[in-house]
Amino acid sequence: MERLSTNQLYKSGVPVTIPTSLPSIPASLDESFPRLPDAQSVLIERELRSTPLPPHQTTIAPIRGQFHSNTGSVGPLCSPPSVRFSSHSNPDQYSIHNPYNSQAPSTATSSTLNYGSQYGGFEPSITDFPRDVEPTWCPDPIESILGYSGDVPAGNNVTGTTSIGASDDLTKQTEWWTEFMNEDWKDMVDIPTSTETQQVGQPVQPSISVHQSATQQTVSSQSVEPLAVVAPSPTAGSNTAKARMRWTPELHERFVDAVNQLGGSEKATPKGVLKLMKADNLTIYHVKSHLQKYRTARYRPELSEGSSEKKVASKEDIPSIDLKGSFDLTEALRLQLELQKRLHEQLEIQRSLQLRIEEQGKCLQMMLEQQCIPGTEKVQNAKTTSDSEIPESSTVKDVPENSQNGPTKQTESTDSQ
Amino acid sequence: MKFGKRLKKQVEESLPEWRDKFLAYKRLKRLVRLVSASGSSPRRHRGSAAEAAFLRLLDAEVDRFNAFFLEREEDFVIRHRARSTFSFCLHSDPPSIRELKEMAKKVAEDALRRRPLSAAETRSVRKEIVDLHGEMVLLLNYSAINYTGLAKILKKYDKRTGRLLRLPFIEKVLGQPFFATELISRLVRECEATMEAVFEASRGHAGASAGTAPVAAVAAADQGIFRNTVAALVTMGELRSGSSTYGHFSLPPMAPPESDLLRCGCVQVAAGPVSI
Repeated sequence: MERLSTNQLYKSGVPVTIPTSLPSIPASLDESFPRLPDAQSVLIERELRSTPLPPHQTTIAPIRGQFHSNTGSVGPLCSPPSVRFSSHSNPDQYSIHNPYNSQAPSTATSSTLNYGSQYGGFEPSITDFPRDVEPTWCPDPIESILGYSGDVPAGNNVTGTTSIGASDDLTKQTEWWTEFMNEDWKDMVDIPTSTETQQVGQPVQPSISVHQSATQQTVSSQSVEPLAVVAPSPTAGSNTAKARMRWTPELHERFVDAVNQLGGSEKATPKGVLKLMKADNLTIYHVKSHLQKYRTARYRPELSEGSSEKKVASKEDIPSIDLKGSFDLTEALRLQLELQKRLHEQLEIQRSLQLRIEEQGKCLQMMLEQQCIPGTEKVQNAKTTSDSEIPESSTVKDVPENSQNGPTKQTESTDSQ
Repeated sequence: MKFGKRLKKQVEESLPEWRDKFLAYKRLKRLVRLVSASGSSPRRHRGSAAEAAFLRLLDAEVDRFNAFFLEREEDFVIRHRARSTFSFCLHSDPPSIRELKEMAKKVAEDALRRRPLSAAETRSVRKEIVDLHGEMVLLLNYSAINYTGLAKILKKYDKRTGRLLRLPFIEKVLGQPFFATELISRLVRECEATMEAVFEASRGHAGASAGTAPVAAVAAADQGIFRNTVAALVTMGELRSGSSTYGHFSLPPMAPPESDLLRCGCVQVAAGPVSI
């Protein structure tokens, strides 16, 4: 039934672009990204959740093989959505919420839409998927998944198949897929045979599942019996909590204080530290991993101290050479540092330039939108020629010009919005 | 193509555990090639599939960068703080009262560190700070290279499809954690300040030292970071040496690197690893 509706969809001549409609799609297209450990595994895993059906076990299996993930970091990327392109779902969720500090699943879902909403700008140009199509997707997500699971992007159905039975569709899709595979995609697919399945079975997490234009995933995540084959992960519950934490020095200082209060890095427990720190957005998993890193970092210097002590003992009889050695070392270190400083300098310059260029690009864009075309071409050319001169001085020159027009234009446009 | 090759070279020269963390530029390029130019209907299916994959890969890459960057940043924060407890011990001059107090406060957490450092320990600590500095700068370089790659591939995509993906996507990227490198920059500067003080002090003591003659024996001991830094500088110089598709989004050519400094560096790298 679902397929019928999708076929109707296609017959209606709407260009179906995968991103908006079927985020779950090509889990096998994901095969082309085999070596991306963290984000990709989450991505694939979420895809997989929407492809729960036994007939596709064969395709699922190789995908499963890809889930060789660093367990620690799968969770955090849960919030970044697999559907980036769901501008059709809740466009009003234009939150500026930073996905990397979110803990609660609800915020995770809204933050995913943050991603999606970012594409609002170009979405319409990619597809004019009418919004009223959405309701048709909801009813039978499972069947729709059957139609699109694992192998074939929706594009396949554009061949205008009418009410085809499941098996037919499937064969068509596999045919299409093999054909597709024979193109240059082949060399991009390299499926590792590792059977790391730990992170895959995040099945029953409707809270994690990204709310998308097609709500298939939310519904499909409940029908996960086949996925149970992929060992249900013990860390399923932790995924929602493992959003990426940004450890600032201040936060770290608080951490160290808490650890010291508890008697040192060996004695401190994550729970204790967490309680002492009293920081929002901090989960025990963050603390745990951070504590581990802290311990390793502290252990290594002690090791090196131990070994260098031995070195000193052996060199005691030739103090003169030792002294010279330290001079040489200082010089070498100085050289290394100089080089690194230089790279840093250049990077900073480059970065500020890039930022400025993007800024001006934005102003330019806005000006283009406001002015009529002949005028804008002139502006563009002027910009290009000025940039080909010594950029620093010319951009400085240009900025005041632009900023005169820019801000006013900006305020105009914001007002009109 | 040039960028792809340069990126590959940079990746090869980078620290081993970083090698697979860079942008999958080649793959993205292939996907862009597969994407149909807008309006050609027979290839529409594959084109749209490629497009979807492209957009997906883009996002996945950004996520990957963020994850790696944040993880490294956390590591640096820890190490930086740990190192800074030593910074006072590095000064050859007797520390002032204020410094002593601060040192006592920071050192109080671990009895082991209360004793003064021996010469060898001082050496190794200094080296560690310089290495930490180097790694942080390389992380900044990582961020910059990936950003550049993203910008380039987006430009290609826009050109091919006629769409306007570049601007909004780049804006999004600008807000990503991996591009918000201010913290790391600050840590880098702090390291520099620390080492500056050390070098100042040691310059006074060393007097006529070995001079700036390449001391291959010692410097080459840490091939990874040093080598990578040199490679990064060289690559950056090449990348910025003027582009064929110069537009108002292109960066200006980089000022020519101080040739003697860089040459020194290249000699060091070429000299091969020699143990201390």
